[in-house]
Amino acid sequence: MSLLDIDDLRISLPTDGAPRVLVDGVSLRVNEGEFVGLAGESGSGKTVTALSALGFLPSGSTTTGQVRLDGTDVLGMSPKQLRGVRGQTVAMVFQDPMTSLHPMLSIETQLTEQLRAHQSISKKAAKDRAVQLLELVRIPNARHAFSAYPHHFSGGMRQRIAIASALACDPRLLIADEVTTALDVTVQAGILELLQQIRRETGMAVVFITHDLGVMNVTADSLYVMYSGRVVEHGITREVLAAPRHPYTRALIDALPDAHNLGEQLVAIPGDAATAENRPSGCAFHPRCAFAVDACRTEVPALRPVALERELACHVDPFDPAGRLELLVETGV
Amino acid sequence: MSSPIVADPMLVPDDPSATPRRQRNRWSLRVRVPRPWRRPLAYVGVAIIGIWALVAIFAPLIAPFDPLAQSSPRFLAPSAAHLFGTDAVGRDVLSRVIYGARISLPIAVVLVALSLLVGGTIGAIAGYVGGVVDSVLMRIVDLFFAFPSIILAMAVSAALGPSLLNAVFAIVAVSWPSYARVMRSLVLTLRGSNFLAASRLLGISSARALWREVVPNVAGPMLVLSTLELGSAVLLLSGLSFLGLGAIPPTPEWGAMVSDGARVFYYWWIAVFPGVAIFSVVIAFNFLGDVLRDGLDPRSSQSLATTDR
Amino acid sequence: MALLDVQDAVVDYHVPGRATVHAVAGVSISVEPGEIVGLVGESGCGKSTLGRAIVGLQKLTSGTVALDGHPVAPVGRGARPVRDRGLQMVFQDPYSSLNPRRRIGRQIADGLRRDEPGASTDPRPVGEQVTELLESVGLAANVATRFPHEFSGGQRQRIAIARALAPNPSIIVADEPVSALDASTRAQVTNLLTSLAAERGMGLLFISHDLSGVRHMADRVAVMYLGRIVENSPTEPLWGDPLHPYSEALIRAIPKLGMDAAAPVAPSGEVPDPANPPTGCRFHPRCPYAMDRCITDDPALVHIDGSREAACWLQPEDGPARRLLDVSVVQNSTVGHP
Repeated sequence: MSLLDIDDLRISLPTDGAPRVLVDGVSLRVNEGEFVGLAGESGSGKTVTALSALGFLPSGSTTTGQVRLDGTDVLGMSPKQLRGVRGQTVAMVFQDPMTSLHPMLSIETQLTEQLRAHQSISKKAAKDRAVQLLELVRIPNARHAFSAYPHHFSGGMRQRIAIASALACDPRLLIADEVTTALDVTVQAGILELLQQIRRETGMAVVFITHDLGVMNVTADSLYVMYSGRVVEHGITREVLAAPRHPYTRALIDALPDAHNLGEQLVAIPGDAATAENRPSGCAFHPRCAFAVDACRTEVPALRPVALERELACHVDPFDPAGRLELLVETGV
Repeated sequence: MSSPIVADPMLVPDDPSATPRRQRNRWSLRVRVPRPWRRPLAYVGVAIIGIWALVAIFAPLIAPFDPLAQSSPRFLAPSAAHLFGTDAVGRDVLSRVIYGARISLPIAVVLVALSLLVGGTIGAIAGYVGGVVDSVLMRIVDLFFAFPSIILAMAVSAALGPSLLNAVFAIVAVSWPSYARVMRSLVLTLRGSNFLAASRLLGISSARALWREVVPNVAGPMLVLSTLELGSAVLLLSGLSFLGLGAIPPTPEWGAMVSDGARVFYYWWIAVFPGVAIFSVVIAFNFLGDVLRDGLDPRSSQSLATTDR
Repeated sequence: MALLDVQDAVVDYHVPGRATVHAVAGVSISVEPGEIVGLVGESGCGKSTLGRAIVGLQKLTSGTVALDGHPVAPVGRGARPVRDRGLQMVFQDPYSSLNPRRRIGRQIADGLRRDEPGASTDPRPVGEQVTELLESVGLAANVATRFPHEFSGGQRQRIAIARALAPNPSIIVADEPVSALDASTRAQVTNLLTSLAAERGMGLLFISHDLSGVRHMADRVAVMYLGRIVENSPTEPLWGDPLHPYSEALIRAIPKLGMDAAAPVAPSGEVPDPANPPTGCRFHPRCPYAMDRCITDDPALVHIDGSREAACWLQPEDGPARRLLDVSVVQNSTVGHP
């Protein structure tokens, strides 16, 4: 049984007109100890999807589907049950290191409070555990750091403390939402190293959300690519990124500066990203896709397996390595 | 090895997505008009002010009597002939309340305009120039803030002598600091903005940039402040008149009427009707100001509801 | 003499109660016509401060900035001299670099004034020139009457670029122009800047924290650390064979695509407080190759080889350049984490 099992999740917000669909039938699975990546741009719905694992849903939203944590549907839980789950089974770290910690409380207070809220341990035991956590995330002079406040630390350090706080109760699943996006590349490398190390030592699973495909490539085992509230491609990360089969994934990769593009102009995706307000009919990517056919305009493609360990939501599948030479010739590859 | 998927879209064929909001003249005064069923207060406010404006304009046609004519019996209670009764010297209260609008409303507008001019200019200079000039000007502002406004207004007015004109000076003297502070704070924020820097890089002089780049951005918030202050202006004027320092008898100013009526409160209608008039105008301006403020502010993000990356 | 020539630029910040921060601690850099120079560094290295000081939005504590041989003065009370307007800037945040209350056509036209001696000699009406500028950045002419809020981030950057092009500049300093944009939009705007530089023979100083983003478009790259330039090399030699240990650390920290991409490696330690930089070479506490000399003596940026410069005691002045991989010291910089 998988640790996290999201099954046909649909989240929409009511508006004056048609409801705004934020997540449109997303299914994903995270096994124990697995690093799962959720990639996509703004408006893809990746954050909302991940938050549902913690039982956080946008206020006023209508939700269908299931989000099973260890077999139990989180969406059906009472607030009390959810409090037991959050921090204990699932924990989360956010993007902005400047606001992820309470500015007015000392590090000691923030960590021990968290511990004592979930477990009945003595103050001393909580303090010892907190020091252990700080050492785990490589904060120098952990005992000294205790009495300090968040503003004494740099962005990278604050993220480490936020991670320590999330790990306090040994969660089995950590949701890392763009945790390195606001950090410098060398600081980011440190945090990524830290996550791998923690994973080796504790066997924790991670849902790693980012729009940065380079980071995704070196971090996540399996990858879900999301566009406009739907999963468009899923597979082993390095395989998906080395040989993408969905036109959107392919386009994202091609827009990146990389060894391939030396001296050449970067290739950009025409048009604007589809948002919840103006999602096109059928396949949400069709207005920007060079391979769109009539079916793409009318029918939403389902996510189906196209190879061992690869799922794709596309009517055309133009990059199928197994054939379709005619199509390749047509588009002038 | 270039991808066949997409061509570099140098030309943007589509028009930008959002539709233009209401635009006026050379500038965009983006006022989001709220939907009526969400903000009925706005409409109440506008309606009340609108009615008073019409009353003020058409006073000679509406008022049944001459506001200064002591033609009827004194202290008549409200009746068919005198809807609001008569006062201590036999003048029709309704007519006086109607003509009172001709004094209170325009003077309130003048008060706000003058305070905005004085306070806004001082605040803009303080914020834009900074340094010693800023410090000195702000200390002067602090000085004025140290006094309760009505006391200060009284002092100025008493020194100058009771008259409507002097009351105006007194009230402007007391009100300008609020405008100065808000303007200074707005200008300080704008001073660091990149579009101002870009403008300077293109060769626009400092003074011209202040007018072209900064002023249009302060218009909105200052408008909101002015609308809210209109209510205070009416109150201050009425207060001074109540104390005998503003409008001199027999001018039908609401505050003065309340003052006269308070002395003979057994005949309640003499004070109450002008009092209600003051109240209605002040509240109406407050409603209007609130709505304008909300309309100009960016919509607050409802954290999880807006989502999403 | 280079088109843009910065010599020994120093910018100090005085914070009451703390030591002076040397945000820019002696930088010399130049840009030739048509050349694209990437200025790369992480937060706090002073690259933005340097960018603003070069165009005159920030006063230099000492040092000079010259455009085509003439010194460029900081922007003062009056209008900026016409001659200096050949040096323009594109800012990072597309949402604050355009005046929300003015139509974009007018904002662009600010740079098209003809009323001063030495200013534009283009006889065409302003409207026509604005149209041409909009089209050169890929926007339809009829959007000139619209307001900034009607455009997306990428489009706003194009408008900002059009505005910067209005006075026909010979140098544009772009301060992280694509960092605030979506990945797919970044490509568009980066391409735009590079095409324009090529077409107009304009020099472009492209400031960025993203070394990968700069790699495919810059002719040369200057790497900045704690207020100093530590290496200045043509792009590919820098990538293949960095001369300075910090450049190497930056490159190794970048997460890469590809089936065999290695895990990114973090350099040891943290960036020091700029108010209190280390003695000797500023990078020495974090440098896996540090020698005794590095603790006491601060290396200057010197010419090494060809057109490469580096500030490192490992690299002898005027060459020959030493490959860092040849140096027989510990390669793995993450060993010995504090």
